[in-house]
Amino acid sequence: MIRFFCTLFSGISFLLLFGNLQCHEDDRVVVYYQLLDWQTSLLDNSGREPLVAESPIPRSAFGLRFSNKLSSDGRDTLLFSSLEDYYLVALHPLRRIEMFSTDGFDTIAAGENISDRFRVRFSAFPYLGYYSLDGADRAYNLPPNTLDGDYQIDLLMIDPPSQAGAYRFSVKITFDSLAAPINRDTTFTLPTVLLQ
Amino acid sequence: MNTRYLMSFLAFVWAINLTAQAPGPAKPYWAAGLFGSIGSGFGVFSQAFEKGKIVSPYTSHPMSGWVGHLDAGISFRNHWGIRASVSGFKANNLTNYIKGSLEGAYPGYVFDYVPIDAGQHETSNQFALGISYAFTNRRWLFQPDLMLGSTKIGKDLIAARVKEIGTHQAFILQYRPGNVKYRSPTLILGGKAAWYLGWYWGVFADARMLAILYNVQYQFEKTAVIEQTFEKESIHLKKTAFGATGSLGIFLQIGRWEKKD
Repeated sequence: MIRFFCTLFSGISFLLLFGNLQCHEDDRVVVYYQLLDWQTSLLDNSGREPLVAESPIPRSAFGLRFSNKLSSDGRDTLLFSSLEDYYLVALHPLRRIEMFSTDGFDTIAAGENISDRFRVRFSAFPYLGYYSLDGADRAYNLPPNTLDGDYQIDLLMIDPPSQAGAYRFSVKITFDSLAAPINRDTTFTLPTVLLQ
Repeated sequence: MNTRYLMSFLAFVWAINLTAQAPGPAKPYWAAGLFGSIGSGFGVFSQAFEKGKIVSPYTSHPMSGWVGHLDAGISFRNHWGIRASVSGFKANNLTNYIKGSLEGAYPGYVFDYVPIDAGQHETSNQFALGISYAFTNRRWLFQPDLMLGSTKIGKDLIAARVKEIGTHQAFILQYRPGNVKYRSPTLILGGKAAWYLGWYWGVFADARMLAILYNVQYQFEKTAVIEQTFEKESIHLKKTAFGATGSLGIFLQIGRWEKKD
């Protein structure tokens, strides 16, 4: 009887140990991507979803869309159709987007940082989040449509100028790589926007 | 179609009754024992959740239409008995009503709903247990009863993304049912008029008055996307719906405990 229980105990122990030691092998390929060709569009968020629009745009519904092509080598566009099972990791994580008023408005001085007047829109239905620009790592580095090869970041101006008019904004984008800033940071000024 | 069904049923009962009227023993057909019955008919129900623009996650309830009953019970020699009943009802679908009520509270907003389907049912069921008393004659009996039971109501998460036209303002609204396994307590007062066509079987007409006592809890959650504020409110709702059903059916009596002559 004792021998039977010893055998049973050993068998169960072996099964538990062996079962726990079996690792799930992830067959997916890690694809490191970089962002190429910054494109900027104006957004009108008057309706259900933000839509690319031309000036003039209602001040209360104004937004910006930054879109990029993805590349694995920094030169060619990533061809997703050639990848069967993969997950994307940013080679150079985007850490911060800052917005500036080029000419100033209301009480804002020219060149002043107005990032707190914008939010990053993160939409993965039914979830909808408007993140402040300095805390949106998730929205920056794996936006919902990235897996379809469509990298977009939507910024919404939640505190617009009090008067209709022509406005200019500048954007500063900061990347990190291995915790050390690399020379991919970029700053550019957007074309004049007519807000009504 | 219903008229033809009813006429056929009555003709069937009449024909069988003629054959059963042959001279027989003078003692009552009724006897203590076990019985089972099946019946089908029509029910009318008031709708407790379709008044006052109530938005709740309780999405379907018994509605007017077809009803079916499966009953079983036991009758004792003193004519008292115990009756158990399983009933099925047609159920309504309040999804559109709930959406309309919610959208009425937010004019100027567009709504995107999380699909609502888990809580939708075409039928509702009811389990009940109670007591009965049989007033008997030779061939017929009248058996009033009082039962307590529970009625199934459908429920689902009501969730919507709500966006104001012309601005960035947006909310996420959720109504979460608090009673995951909830069934509404139900009080049933009914009566059955039965006609014995043989020692072991017969036909009956059954009528019931029902009070469905809704005592539900749910949570309303509202997240303001820009302000990143979160409101949560627990709602306790008490409502009563009334119903009446009428049905016809056949019963079988087995295990008769007859007095020795």
